[in-house]
Amino acid sequence: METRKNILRGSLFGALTMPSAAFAEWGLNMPVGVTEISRSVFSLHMTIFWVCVAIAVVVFGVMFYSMFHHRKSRGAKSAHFHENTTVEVIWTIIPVAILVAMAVPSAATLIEMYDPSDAEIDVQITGYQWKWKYDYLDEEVSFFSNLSTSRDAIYNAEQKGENYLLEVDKHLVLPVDTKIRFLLTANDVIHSWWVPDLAVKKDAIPGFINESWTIIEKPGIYRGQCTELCGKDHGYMPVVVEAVSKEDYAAWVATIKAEAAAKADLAGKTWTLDELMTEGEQVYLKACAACHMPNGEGLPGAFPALKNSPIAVGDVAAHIDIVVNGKPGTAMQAYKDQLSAVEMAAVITYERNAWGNNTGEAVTPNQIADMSWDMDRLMTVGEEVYGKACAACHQPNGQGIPGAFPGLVGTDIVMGDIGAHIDIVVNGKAGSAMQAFKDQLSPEEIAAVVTYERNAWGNNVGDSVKPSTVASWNGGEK
Amino acid sequence: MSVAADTKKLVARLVLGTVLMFGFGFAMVPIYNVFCEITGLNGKITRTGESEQPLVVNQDRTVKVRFISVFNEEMPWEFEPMQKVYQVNPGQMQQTAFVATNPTANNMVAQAIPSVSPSEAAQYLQKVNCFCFDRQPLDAGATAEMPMVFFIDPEIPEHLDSITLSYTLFDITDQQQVAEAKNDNNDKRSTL
Amino acid sequence: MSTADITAEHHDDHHDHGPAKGLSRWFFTTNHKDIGSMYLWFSLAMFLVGGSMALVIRAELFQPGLQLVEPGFFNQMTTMHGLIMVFGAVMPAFVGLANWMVPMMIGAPDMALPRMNNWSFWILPFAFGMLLLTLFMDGGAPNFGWTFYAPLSTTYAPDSVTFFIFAVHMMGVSSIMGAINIVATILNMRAPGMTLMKMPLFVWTWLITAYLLIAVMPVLAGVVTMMLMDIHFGTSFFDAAGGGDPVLFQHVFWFFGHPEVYIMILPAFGIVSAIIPTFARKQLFGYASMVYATASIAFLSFIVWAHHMFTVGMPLAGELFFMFATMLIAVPTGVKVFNWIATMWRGSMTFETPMLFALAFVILFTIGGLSGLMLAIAPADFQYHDTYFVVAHFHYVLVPGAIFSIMAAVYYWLPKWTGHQLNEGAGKFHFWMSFIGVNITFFPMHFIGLAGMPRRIPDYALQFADFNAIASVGAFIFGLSQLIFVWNVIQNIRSGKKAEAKCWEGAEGLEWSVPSPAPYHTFTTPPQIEGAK
Repeated sequence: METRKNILRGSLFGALTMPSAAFAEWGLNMPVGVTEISRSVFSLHMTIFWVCVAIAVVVFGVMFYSMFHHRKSRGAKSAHFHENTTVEVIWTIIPVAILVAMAVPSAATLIEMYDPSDAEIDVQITGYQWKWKYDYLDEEVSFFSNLSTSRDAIYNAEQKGENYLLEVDKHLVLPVDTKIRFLLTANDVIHSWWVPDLAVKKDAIPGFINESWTIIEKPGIYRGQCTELCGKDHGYMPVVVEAVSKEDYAAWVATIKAEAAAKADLAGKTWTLDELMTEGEQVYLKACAACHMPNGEGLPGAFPALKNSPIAVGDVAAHIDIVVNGKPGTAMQAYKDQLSAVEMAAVITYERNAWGNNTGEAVTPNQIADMSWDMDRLMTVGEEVYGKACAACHQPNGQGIPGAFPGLVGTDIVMGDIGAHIDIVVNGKAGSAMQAFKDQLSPEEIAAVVTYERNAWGNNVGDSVKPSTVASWNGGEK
Repeated sequence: MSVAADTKKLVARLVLGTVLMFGFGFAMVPIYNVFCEITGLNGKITRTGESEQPLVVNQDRTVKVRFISVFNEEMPWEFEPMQKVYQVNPGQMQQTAFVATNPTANNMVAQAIPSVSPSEAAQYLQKVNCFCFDRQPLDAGATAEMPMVFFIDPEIPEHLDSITLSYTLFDITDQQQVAEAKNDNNDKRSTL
Repeated sequence: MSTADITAEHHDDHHDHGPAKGLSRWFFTTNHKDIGSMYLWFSLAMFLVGGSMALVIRAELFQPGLQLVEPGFFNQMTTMHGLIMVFGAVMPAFVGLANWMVPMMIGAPDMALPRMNNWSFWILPFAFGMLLLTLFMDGGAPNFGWTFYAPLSTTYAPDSVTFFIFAVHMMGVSSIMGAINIVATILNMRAPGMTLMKMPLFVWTWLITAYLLIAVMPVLAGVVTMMLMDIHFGTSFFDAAGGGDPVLFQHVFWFFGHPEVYIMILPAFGIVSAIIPTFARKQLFGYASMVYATASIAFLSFIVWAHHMFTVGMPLAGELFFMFATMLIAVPTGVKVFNWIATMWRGSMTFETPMLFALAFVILFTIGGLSGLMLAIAPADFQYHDTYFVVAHFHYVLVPGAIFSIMAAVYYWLPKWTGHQLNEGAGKFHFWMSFIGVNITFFPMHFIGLAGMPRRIPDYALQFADFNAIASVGAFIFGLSQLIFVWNVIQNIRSGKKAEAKCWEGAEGLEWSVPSPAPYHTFTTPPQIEGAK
């Protein structure tokens, strides 16, 4: 099989493809790519290219010879022939022969491309206006991949980076030497997913599923773009594939799954007091007991007691604050980067109920998460999220595009009921271009962007949204 | 004068040709659908209806059938296959279901559009019964199990070892209301 | 206007009146020469409008980043540029040339249906006026590309799409009426003795083109009608939710679209087949095979449409069929190129402006044809598709192809229309500026396409910057050099040395047997046909 193909390719015009390597280095030519298919395609491309060059040289050679020698100014007298069946037959048959010779290897490569069997990993790729969503179907992992080039770079307000317009926030990570099947579809209009180095280009069509496959041979980062006009920001939805070794891929999957699980814990699970106490005791022994002692009595003179302390039985917000942010000038560290929200919620709950503190209060992970989201942070992050997810339609200044996308300055949605505002961002608006962002943005991001919209551009409503509100949003009222 | 008469006749013919070609443009729609059915172009599948289970079940090989669900636009439903991957023997009847939940406060109607990949496989995936044949209304907050029964045609070529069946869920509540307003007791069953 | 000053000198004007005075002459005229002139002026205006849009595009693409226009407007520019150039510039120019030349070439007094002729022209300004006014609508002009793929052009389209659809309907009606008229003229109005195989090749190519138009313009009308119904009447031709299929749109569109491509190039073949023999002072080589090649290209154009859709996920058999069929087109096209070269071979060539444009046509169209052959290779097309390589390809066949042939035709027949000899200096200056500009613009696009730049994007990655800058410079050279053309034509109408009836030494054909400028009415009595082609 292998040899047959190689003979087909090699014997025909093998010699002609020799100078190809030099060509590729100039960055003028199609990339050779990192898959067997991409190399076949490249060799087909170079073959047909040199065939065309050869035809052009012969045809134009004759033409220029004639233009030079058969001109009136050189005294040429015109001949009278105007028909010759023999030459007409010859120049019909020669092209046919060349075409047949080209058709054979082309068909062979095409047949190879159409063999989807034995794929080990299925990735579903969904095109959205104007981003890609990747679902690793066997792993239950999915995420959106957005352009990460800043608007300032696009509008020439800052230096353009090396991968200007070809960089995304989350790469499509794939293992090398593994047959990967891409299942393509779209959410709204037709998109087309293209990575030149893989020689994979396939349309993503709403309501239909297409497939393609690849086996990447070399680790690396391969960049491509959407190639089917899909609306305003068609030029701003790049594809970035990161090929890694099989081990790294397994590790990456484990990490991303753990992250997803942690998020799910935070948002989804309802913690009972008992669960928090059990978990909290573990955390306490691990992180706190060294100073505050397992019995919560501390070391007098060095570390304060927690048993009956004003912190542990007093205002819960102050308690959360000291655990999350520490207490400057003391040995009390900030735990926000050391413990997860669940762990902090558990340990605070534990401290408030152990050793006879018995406040009966349970602190939820969401409360911890909300703690770190004050107005400033919501606004800062909100502006970033807005730039990434909203500004394309509603414009950076919130003015929208008349006739196409509504403005957000001083309008009912952003100035009125906050619930309705959250709802439209979370669930979208049927029959309009407004998408549901619940699967695209995290609760934190949605809270931030809603807060931002309500307070930017002179809207100054003054209220803010906590991530926990968004996380528990159930769409409820219309 | 004969020139004028000839011209009249010729123009009449050309106008007729124009009209026919205009009609042909529309005729391409059913022609295309028939073509798709025969070749499986685009992964469209047709209803097999009450076709019997074939007698022969090929126990020597299995075909991997994967179900995926896709949401069009801001379709807010939850919609998941009960089991995502089946290994079935060609000829073996297999029952499965999708679970759909309408989490909104409104009664909605959805249409699931099936698509098979690779498109070549579409003609071998036989659906005896499928929720996608009908529009699916779901009341606010309700959850429903949507059954389907399928088998793989034993004629399926060897190289097709894996088939993907996707359902894209479209929100057609508005269209449905319009249609109902127009004619109440007309059976609006979709032809899919 | 080009014929405005000839009323005084009718030669074979025994019984007839000249043109009416004032504006009403142009509104109510049924004279093929007047209507031909109006088509050509209209086409020139659209060429300049569409060209300005191209310059907006190239100016934005001069550097990476967004400088001049927003992406939404950029998409409107690419869409309108395509629509205006295809339907407003190239097609009306060929119809205008047919109006002027076909009756004179076959010895007919006028078109077969003169009043319909007037009507088919006067629809156009309204169609394009409406299309251009959408630029000022809320939501902007059509922004979904000249190929207007559903659902971007239906569910997701701006409101102006409805006006776009009506504009396309009107253009379609105009083209179909024009085509019917040309077929009727060619089949029924030939002078006695002018058999089909004696007709000049321009007449032949137009006859075939007219049949193509009658076959496919109704399909275009059908597809936009389906869009209209999807948008306003709740049908689901292209909406998957109701059982439709967006890919069906592409099949129907390209069933129109591919023959459309040949509609824009077959008359060009005819023009070049008239000009090269004139300036080579040698009869066209292989007349019969040229006719058959044209007919086979027209036939093949109906069975290759899906090569525009290799990436939509067709079954393998479909891909193979359309790949082979497309490659086949290279054969008759090659025959044509070889015939032109054989015509030049051992001729006695001179290189006046029309000849320069015709020779540039042969060379650059061949380059476009060869890149077309590359695009036909389906596996490689996965890499070329929707990149600048495609942009380079179709601009090579349309700009130095269709547009150069139209310019060649205008320079070739202008003395016949105005009665004044060409200003060769200005003509050659225009030619060289255009030739250089066109190549600087479009040749680098091959490279950026292969290197991976998709088409229809307002901004691009840094590695494409150099070639884009070069292409933009070339575009402005090409664009501005068209002002020389406009100036040259206007000067030629106003003044110039008197042109003889047969102003080119090697010219053959009936049109050269009437005086220059051609009288308002020609061949009111049929001419005698000898053996001439």
